[in-house]
Amino acid sequence: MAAISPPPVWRRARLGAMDVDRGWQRPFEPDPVIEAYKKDVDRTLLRENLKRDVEERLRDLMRLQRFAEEWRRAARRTFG
Amino acid sequence: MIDIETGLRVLAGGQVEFIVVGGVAARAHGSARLTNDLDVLYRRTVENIARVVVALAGHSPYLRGAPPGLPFHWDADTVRKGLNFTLTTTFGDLDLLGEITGGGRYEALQADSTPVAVFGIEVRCLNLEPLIHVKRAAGRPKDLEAVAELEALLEERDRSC
Repeated sequence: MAAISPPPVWRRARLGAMDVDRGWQRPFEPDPVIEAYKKDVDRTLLRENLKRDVEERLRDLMRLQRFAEEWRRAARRTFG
Repeated sequence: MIDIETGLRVLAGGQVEFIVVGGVAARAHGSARLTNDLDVLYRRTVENIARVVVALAGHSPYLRGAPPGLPFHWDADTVRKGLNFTLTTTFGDLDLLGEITGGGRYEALQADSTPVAVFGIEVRCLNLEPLIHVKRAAGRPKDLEAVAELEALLEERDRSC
């Protein structure tokens, strides 16, 4: 008889007495579109981000937003 | 654009029970993608709705994309009658979500979020696996690329552990 699968890495969310399978146990079901996109992900960027703490990551996002906004303004000024 | 720090401070300062989801949560986990709004899942209790209303009242919340001058009253009754609100505020675009596809309400996801200390406050952030799950469940074409990055992030995180 096959062994019963161990509890999922991701605990099931308990809603009252009901044990609801939230479906986010790994591994995720492979999706060909997602897998195709995954090949183009810049993992060096992710590795760098993982070295930072959460606050640094969010401050970096805010800097990027300001840069993007400035770029949009410049484009509007230049191209109308 | 969103001033994330101010948005989080306003909600946390108002003792609002919420979970950061969406692009800012992804970024907190290490995503490199740009996002321009703050998505939060708020608890739909009478007390928490009152706290959300008070916290945002001074920040001119208004329906994003709606023409100006609509009779939109930011009060507990409005929030109670609605569920998900895409708002503009003085600190930027805020998506105030009572429920998210594939994840449900605050109570269902609370255990799958983690308190994170950031900007001198503590906020709950949806964990990476459920974040991938809800983005997959949303099924929007624009999310597929984001999911690919998040799954790569999960692989990288596991590799570095």
